[in-house]
Amino acid sequence: MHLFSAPLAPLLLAFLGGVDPWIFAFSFVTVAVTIGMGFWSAKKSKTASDFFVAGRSVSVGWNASAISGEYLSAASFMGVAGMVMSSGYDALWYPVCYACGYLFLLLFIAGPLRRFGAYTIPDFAEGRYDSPLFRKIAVCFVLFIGFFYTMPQMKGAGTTLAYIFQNITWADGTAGLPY
Amino acid sequence: MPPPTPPEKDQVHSEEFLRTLMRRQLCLSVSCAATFLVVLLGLPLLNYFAPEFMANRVAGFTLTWLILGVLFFPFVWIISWLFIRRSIALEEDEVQSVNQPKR
Repeated sequence: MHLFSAPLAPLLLAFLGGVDPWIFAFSFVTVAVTIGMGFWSAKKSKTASDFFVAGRSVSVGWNASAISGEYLSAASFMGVAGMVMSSGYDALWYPVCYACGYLFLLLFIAGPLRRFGAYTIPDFAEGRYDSPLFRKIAVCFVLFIGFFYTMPQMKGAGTTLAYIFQNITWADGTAGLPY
Repeated sequence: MPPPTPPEKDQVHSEEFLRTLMRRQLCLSVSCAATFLVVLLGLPLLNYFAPEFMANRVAGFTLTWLILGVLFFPFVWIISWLFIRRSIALEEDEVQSVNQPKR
């Protein structure tokens, strides 16, 4: 709670005093560029095709690196590395098999979806079964999965930031981020 | 300008053509998935029944780590590559078989 009770000036001083300026600069630039790219791409994409597949104008290499970027999440950098560190071979099955999930996505979902002309599973559900209700059910599944995918990512980001800011000393003498 | 009249036997839009098309693509998907599953299930079986063999060191790794940690990814990549090639070839084959009688 002392994060919100502390006045702004000591907070800034604490930032500059306790944190490695390089780490702070890199994290700040990364966050700023990510937010900026979000606004930039939101302005650029006008149609559903722009939004989901970038107007089909992305080459295979760029698309593959975008998908790799999704794969390299907090889970891969921290969770999986830690799991392999603590459990060894048994934990190695986990990242390998979830990478291989992409194979099943390709074999059983991507091809039919593309031939059907749908971009997302809810689109397909509505088009194939001609039922708006089924679309809503599919959306519920997507939100459910998305929520439980995002939650640990946020926790991972929090852990990383807490590590970066662990040297901060606040006005009341406590150190680190409250999390 | 009169609307284009569909030919009497419109093979492309027939239910039968759609079914064979979907069946051929599904056969391809299933056989690719089966190849993958054979390796996925074969590796733990090998670990269990031939532990000495899998403990051999190859390029610094034990064989079982090398297969699961490194060789698995090119293997999956090759399956995907073959799948995409075969899938495109199937589509072209179907287009050709439809166009043939017209010429």
